[in-house]
Amino acid sequence: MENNFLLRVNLTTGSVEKESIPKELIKNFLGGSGLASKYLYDEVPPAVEPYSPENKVIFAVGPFQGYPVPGGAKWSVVSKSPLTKTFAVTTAGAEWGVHFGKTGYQLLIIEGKAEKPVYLYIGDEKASLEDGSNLWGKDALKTADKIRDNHSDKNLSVASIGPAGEKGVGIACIVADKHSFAGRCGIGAVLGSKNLKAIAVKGNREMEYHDEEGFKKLNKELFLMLSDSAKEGYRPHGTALDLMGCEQVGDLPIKYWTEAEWPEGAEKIGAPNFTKEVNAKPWPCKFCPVGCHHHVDFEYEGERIIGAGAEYESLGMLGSNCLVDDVKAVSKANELCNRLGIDTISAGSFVGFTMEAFEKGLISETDLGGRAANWGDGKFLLEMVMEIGNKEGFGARFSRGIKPAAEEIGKEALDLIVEVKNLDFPAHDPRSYFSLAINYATGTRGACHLRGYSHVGEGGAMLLPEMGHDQVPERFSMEKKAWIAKTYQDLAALHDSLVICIFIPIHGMNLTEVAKILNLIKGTDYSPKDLMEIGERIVNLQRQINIKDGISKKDDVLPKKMFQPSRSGFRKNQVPEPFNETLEEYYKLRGWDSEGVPLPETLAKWGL
Amino acid sequence: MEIKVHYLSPFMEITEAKNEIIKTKKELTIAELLEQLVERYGERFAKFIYRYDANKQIEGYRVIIKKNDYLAKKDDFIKDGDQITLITAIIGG
Repeated sequence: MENNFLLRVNLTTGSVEKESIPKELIKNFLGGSGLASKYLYDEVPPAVEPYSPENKVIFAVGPFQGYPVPGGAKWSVVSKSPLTKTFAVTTAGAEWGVHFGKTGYQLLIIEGKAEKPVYLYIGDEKASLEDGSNLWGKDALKTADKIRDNHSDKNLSVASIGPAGEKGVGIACIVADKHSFAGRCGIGAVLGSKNLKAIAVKGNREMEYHDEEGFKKLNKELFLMLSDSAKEGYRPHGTALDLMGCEQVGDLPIKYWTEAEWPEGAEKIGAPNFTKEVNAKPWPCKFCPVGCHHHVDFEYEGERIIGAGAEYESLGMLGSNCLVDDVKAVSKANELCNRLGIDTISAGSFVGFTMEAFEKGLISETDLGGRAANWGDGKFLLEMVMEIGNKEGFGARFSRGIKPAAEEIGKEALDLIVEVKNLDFPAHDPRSYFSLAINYATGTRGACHLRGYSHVGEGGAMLLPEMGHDQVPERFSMEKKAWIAKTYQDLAALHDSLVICIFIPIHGMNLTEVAKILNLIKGTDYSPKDLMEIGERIVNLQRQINIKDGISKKDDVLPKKMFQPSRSGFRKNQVPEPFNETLEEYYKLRGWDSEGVPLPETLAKWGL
Repeated sequence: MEIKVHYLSPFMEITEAKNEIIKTKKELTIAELLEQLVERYGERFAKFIYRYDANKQIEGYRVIIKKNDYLAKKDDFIKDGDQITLITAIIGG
């Protein structure tokens, strides 16, 4: 069957309706975040208040969901962010995308606001709003269990929010099947503002292939290759594998972006120590030959912790960023974030900022409720995570993001924060990968390493020969970095629209093979270049949403710390300069004017 | 001359050591050192050093090499007492 339908759920009226998606839109935007961005652009007015009923949340899958494509369990969700007040996108995996794809829908548009807590159930033949009163207040993981019990179906796929989403914590995430997290931009809080606690999906439809035999043959070869590629890397350790390497090249956030070296600490919280201490075992998403997600089972302070383990970003932001080298304390903080339903990246950023502000005397023990906020204090880390997620105590100051919190403290605090457009940096440093400076500054959702993985292209983990990028460039130079930032943003937009996990291409499934798989499924004739053009169209569309929300060059900036070099280590004396000239070069490559606004001819080129 | 080689994961699991000293009479480049290590530790090790094309031919390197505190190029010469750190091309989640 063709899954060219969307499901529109109006929480105000309780209506649930099926609509067709025009074929032209699928041709131009594929699916996933690209297609969802188009609906967001068309249906949500500029500068809408993110928590108002006028804002919408659009869940999306693409042409790969429902098929056993490696890494094809991913799904995207877009909305307007309570943090950035503009375009928001985030992705997750587990099984939700597969099930939603098999219902026959590509999009789920949530609009309005329910009078009381509800959850949405979507099956092959029916979709219904169910009473969610007894779920309200439950953590995100228990919510999934309870809904599965309600339907007597332990295999039901559930995307849920935790207490943070209910309470309007701006970094609230959406938790898929208890082990994958649509983490960034606070879309979980937008769902909470609509009184929507969860979306449960069970799809069973048979999928149609253009060339099923051809697909199966190529897909099997790819699975074997990818499985072999990951078997001694991410499969045994997850992304914790990268902790020590990232520290060695000055990429890891250390002491809230003020230090460049922490080898002993990185060894304690990274693999293989991580793997051993928290008993980490692979917990792959559906159809994943890589298996980066891990299940952990360990004791901390007399409590047994079982569930989704910390990944690189969480270990970096909650660990090295706060100088906490107790891997079990960091893993416990990760577990709290999972249950509360908050983004581990921003949560770690808030704690690191608090520690630095305390060290510099900008906040006192009195401000902190009679406590100190010392670097490396695992107990303080755990207390702060609870406060942030529950919107209590000092942690409540961060409910609108780091910038409003710093503004309350004062100008000196504003000089400390590390964000773009009020979205905290993820755990990769632009002073180590210069292309990230441009990528973060121009990211359509704020500072992000996944809506443009330029560091992966710059460092050689994933070259792109189809686009002429077949050599690792000079590292500490801005030469070619505008092009890399642009190209890998386009690539990310493509991947988020197919939808496919980044770790699949990184482990060896190149763009040519991605195009072949798509064509075998759908009977299309896309070349790698065609697909990259779709990615570029999508980035321009998302930028247009930013522009209409009031974003411009004034917002495409980096925090002060990124121009303060380290005095030692791998990136000693290095900063991403000349930044302004490279930003201008990026705008020109994009066909944007000197203020970062797409030119009329650029919009016309992409049919926008 | 002696070269100190420092291994991070996943190399350390293959070499079963975090550090080792390579003794050599001849001056080596980074590329030559990598060839020696691949010869010693085999295919498992090689997979993290090289990038292969569709025909399984080596088309480049996927490892980042740090010489003391600095990023090294593959044709850089190694001096007596230098520390070489092998880092997989980083993704990071």
